[in-house]
This record gives sequence, structure tokens and C-alpha cells, in this order.
Amino acid sequence: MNPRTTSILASAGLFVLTLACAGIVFFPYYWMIVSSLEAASLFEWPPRLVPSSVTLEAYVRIFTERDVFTWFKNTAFVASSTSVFCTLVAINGGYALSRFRTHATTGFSIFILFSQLLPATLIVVPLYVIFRQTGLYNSLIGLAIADAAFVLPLATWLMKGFFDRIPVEVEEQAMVDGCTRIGAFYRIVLPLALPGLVVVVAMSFITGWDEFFLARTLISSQGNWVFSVGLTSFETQYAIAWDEMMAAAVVFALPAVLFFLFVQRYLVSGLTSGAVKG
Amino acid sequence: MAGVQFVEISKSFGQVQAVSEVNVEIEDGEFAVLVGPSGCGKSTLLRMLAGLERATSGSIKVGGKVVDDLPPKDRDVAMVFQNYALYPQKTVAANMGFPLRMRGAGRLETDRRVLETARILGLEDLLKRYPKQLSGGQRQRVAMGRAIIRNPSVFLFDEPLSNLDAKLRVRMRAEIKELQQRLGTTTVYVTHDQIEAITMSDKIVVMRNGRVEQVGSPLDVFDSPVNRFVAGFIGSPAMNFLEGRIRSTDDGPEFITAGGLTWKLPDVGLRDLSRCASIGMRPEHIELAAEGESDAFSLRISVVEPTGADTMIIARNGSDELSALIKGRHAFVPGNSIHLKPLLGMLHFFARDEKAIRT
Ligand SMILES: Nc1ncnc2c1ncn2[C@@H]1O[C@H](COP(=O)(O)OP(=O)(O)OP(=O)(O)O)[C@@H](O)[C@H]1O
Ligand SMILES: [Mg+2]
Repeated sequence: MNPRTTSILASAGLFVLTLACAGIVFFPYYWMIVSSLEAASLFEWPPRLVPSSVTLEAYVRIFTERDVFTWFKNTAFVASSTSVFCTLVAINGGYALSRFRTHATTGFSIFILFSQLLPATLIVVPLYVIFRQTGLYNSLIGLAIADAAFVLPLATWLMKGFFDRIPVEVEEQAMVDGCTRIGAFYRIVLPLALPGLVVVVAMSFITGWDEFFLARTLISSQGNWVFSVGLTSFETQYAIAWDEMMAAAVVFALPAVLFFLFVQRYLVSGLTSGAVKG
Repeated sequence: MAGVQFVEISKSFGQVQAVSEVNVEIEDGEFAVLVGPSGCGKSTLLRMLAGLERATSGSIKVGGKVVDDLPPKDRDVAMVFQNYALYPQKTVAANMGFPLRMRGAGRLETDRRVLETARILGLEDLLKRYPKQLSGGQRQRVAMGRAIIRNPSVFLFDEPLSNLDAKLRVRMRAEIKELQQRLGTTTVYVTHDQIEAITMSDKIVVMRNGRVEQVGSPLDVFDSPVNRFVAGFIGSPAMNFLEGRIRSTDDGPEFITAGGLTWKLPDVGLRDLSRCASIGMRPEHIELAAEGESDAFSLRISVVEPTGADTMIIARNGSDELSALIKGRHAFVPGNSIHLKPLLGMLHFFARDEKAIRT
């Protein structure tokens, strides 16, 4: 085979492989959408990939008979609060770990990385106890704080990595040019760390959006349910309303998808530029 | 406009003593160069003046006013870093305008002065570009523009030319000096390049291991170095040193080199020659001698380097080594012997503790 044919074959192979991977990733979503539009066919054998009849009945039902709006509102609140908390702490903490190098801060950097290794199940009981005592139990703000706490170690490290790549001279120059240290940080350094900032905002927002375990444990009243908890309510003792559950799942996933579409441009450059160092 | 004074300035980083008891005074309008080998504390001294680093002890005055407790922004100094530290997210115009904006200048005023400064530096066509779209020399100029735009009391430069190629470096050297003369602003300039130091400065501060070895005008430091370190550091090609000792004879003192040459010391009017442990002579102060001349050394040529106009030779005798810059072109052959003699008035004598022996 001449090299040209080989390279064409290789490209074709790669294309097919990519297509297959994409198919594997996207099939569950496709199935989710199909099932939300036509409940009957879900358990048919052989499965029908294309629904025979399409109806939006499930969507109408979840919006009229269930508390989807409340879940949506609560989730949006938790996700944005998580994002705000996490970002505020991560940019300041990451900056401190990057710029004020002492034995203490280096030790602390490693310590928070270790804390990332602990599974949520280990922490949730003490968290429950603390939240009960401090009145954060069954509050959305409390849930956001808990969610933020779980993303923070990684977020802080990410920000530290981004700050590490910004030459300290640029900041010193800003101080000589007339900024205070804080001014130099907000005017010069933070804009340069924007890709990192976007990664942290997105990561913490998504975590707050789809987290289930903490939400299940730390929220008790139905009025404070977030979407991920709400989804489980379609499963009752006697039956599972599959079409409604899938319709709700579509509604739940939609904002996250839109959010990702919006930030993915920054996200890709952010993640890769963070990968160069640290 | 303001002079700068370092009073007993010391700085240590944990165990490392970066700067020790520096006392230097820089006059108003003077171009002072801090020079010394890598790690001698030049940058640290400059950064303390900028307020980016706090002195462990001692005090710094700008324009007679103690600035020790002032943050960088209130010291009225402008700085150019080695890597220029341009703001990557800002255009050239915004970079240059930034110090003005930070000091509360309006948009119109800023634009006007940016244009004015850009004209001085030939940057008019680049104002809309971003730093990554500029060449090294252009970046350097933008950094200069950002420094001069707000008329500070003192300019600080930390090796601003070391990232440029040799040709551009020579040109920028002249440009910076000319600019400084025109503006008359006190300047503190750090370099490890002694040629830059000599050509640009009104005052050289030679440093080693955190200490100031000598302060003086460039020619002063070149002609009368206070010790062997300064003598060897300043000047290019570097000064030759012959190690040896003095022996008294009935004919007067002789110098016996480590390589075994005996050299009858000429009378150069120094009283204290008995302490002499080495003699320094600059390559350009050595000339050809005829065989048998009394104050000549005879050595063996080991390397010949024609420089175009002149001929550089390195000649050896045992452990003695002399490099000499001989005027004109010569057909020296490595391996042949050669007779060289120093210009008597241009000799430097150093004691065992490396200090220069003076009259
Ligand atoms: N932040 C710091 N922490 C610890 N040691 C430092 C720090 N900054 C400088 N030093 C040490 O202080 C000494 C002087 O450093 P400085 O940067 O002033 O040298 P320099 O003369 O500018 O050298 P160069 O020509 O290489 O730039 C060096 O031994 C250096 O290792
Ligand atoms: Mg330096």
C-alpha cells in the first residue's frame, strides 16, 4: 500500500472510531428523549429506535401535576450560590497559595489535595450533625455551602495553577504603575486568569446543579427539593412513571447543556492551558 | 526630580544575605548603573528602591524623603523589568496609558500623552497592537514608554536589554542614554554587562556578594579599581593578572611570577610594593617589545585572534598567562616565542588581600 492510501485508511478508521464513541456517549441521551416522548415502547423487544407516535403529554403532566418549577428554582439557586461561593474562595485561596510561598502554604496545598481523596460518604454524617446545630440543615444556602466545599479543593488547585503561570513581574509592574496589591490583582492578574475562572465557575455550577447525595441528606422538606431529588419522586412504591421521569430529566439537563455550549469555548482553552503547567 | 540615597541597607532572605550594608548616594539627574556578577544583589537593591521588597534594615531616601514605608505606587518611581512585563490583555496604547489612568488622568489627557510619548519612541503605528504582536525591540520600547509617560522622579531598569540581540542592544543602549539625558531624570540601571555599565553611566556601583565594592565615575573605576575583583570585572577584554612575589635585590625590587619569570620592577612611585602579590595589566596596555629589553616578558604564543583592526594574542609561560591586544595586523604563529611589555603607567598592584596598592 502506498503511504497515501495508508493515511486515508487511517483517517477513515479514526473517523469511524470517533463516530462510534460519540454514538456510545449520546445514545443514553437519545433514549432519554425518545422515552420522554413515547412511554409505551420503552420495554418493547426488539427495541424500536424511532418512536412510532410522538406526544408531549408527559411534559404537560410534569409541569401541571409536579413541582418542577420549584425544583428548577431551587436548583438554579443552589447552583449559582455554589458557583459564587466556590469562585470567590478559589480565586483568593488559589492566589494566596500561588504567591505567598511558605512552608505553611505549601503544606496546606498538599493537605487540600488530600482532602479531595476523601469520599463524600465519609463527610456527610459530620456535615449533617454540624448543619443541624448551626441551622443550615434543610436550607438551600446550606446545601450550596456543602456543595462548594466539595468542589473547592480542586477549584483552588486549578486557580493556583493558573496564577502560577502569570509572571509575578506583571503584577509588580502594576503596583509600580499605581495599583495597590489588591488593585493589581483585580485589574491585571484576574483578567489574565479568566480561562481558569471560567473553568471554576462552570465546574462549581454544574456540581451544584446535578449533585444528589448531599441534597438528599441535607434537605428534608419537599419545598426545598432540588431537581436531582425531585427526579427520584417519580419512583413510587408501586410504579415508576418512566415517561414523566424522562421528560423531567430532559428539562433538568437542558440548562446544563446550554450553559456548557455557552462556556465551552473558554473551557477548552482553559483546561488545556491549565494542563501545560501544574 | 530627585536624588536617591541608600543608607546602611541590608536585606536577607532567610539564611541568604542578599544585600549587606549598602551606602550609596545617587545625585539628582544622574545615570547610575548597578553592576556585578549574577546573584550579587543588584535586583534586590533595585526592588527595595521600587518598594517591591522590604529592607531588613537601613533606609532609602528619594528626594531626601524616607520612603521605607511607602507602597510602590506612592514612591513616584517607574520601572522597566527584564521581561518588560507588558500587560498581555491590553493594547500598546492601553499599556502606556495605564500609569496615567491609575493616577486619575482623564481619557483625553491620557490619549494625548500616549500619542506624544509614542512619537518620541517611534511607536505611533503600533498603538493598537497587543504585546504578543510585537518584536522584542518594540516591546522594550513600549515598556520604556510606559515608564517615561508619567514623568517619575526616578527610572528603574532591571537588565532591560538582556533579551535583545547584540545589534539591537547596542542601539537601545544609545537610545536609552539619549532619552535619559534629554529628560534629565535620575536613573538606576541594573546590568551584569560591564560594557553597558561603562558606556551608559555617570556613576558605576560595582557589587559583589551583596556588598558594594566601588562607587565612582566609569573612567575612575576603570583607571583606579580599588581591588582585584573590580579590576577584573570592569573592562573588556578582562585585565591580566600575574601572580608572584617581590624579592629585593641590590638593583632594587624584582617580581618573580608563579610561572618562574623574573621581572625587574620599574620605579612606578609606589612605596609599599613589598606587599604586592599580583600585578594587573589590561590587554590594551601591553605592547610588543624587542628581545632582551629589560622590562619585557618572554612568553610562548598559544592563541592568535585577529579582530579585524587589531590582533589579540594569548601567550603563556608555565602558569603565567597574558592576553594582549596588539594594534594592527600581525602574522603571529602559535608556538613561537614573543616579547611583551606593559605600559608602565598603566600597571595595577594588588596585595595578598586583593586590595589595590596605592601611592
Ligand atoms: N525572593 C527570594 N528568596 C530567596 N532568595 C532570594 C530571593 N530573591 C533573591 N534571592 C537571593 O538573593 C541573592 C541576590 O539576588 P538578586 O536577584 O538580587 O541578584 P542579581 O544581582 O540581580 O543577579 P542576576 O544578575 O542573576 O539577576 C541571590 O543569592 C538570590 O538567590
Ligand atoms: Mg537580577
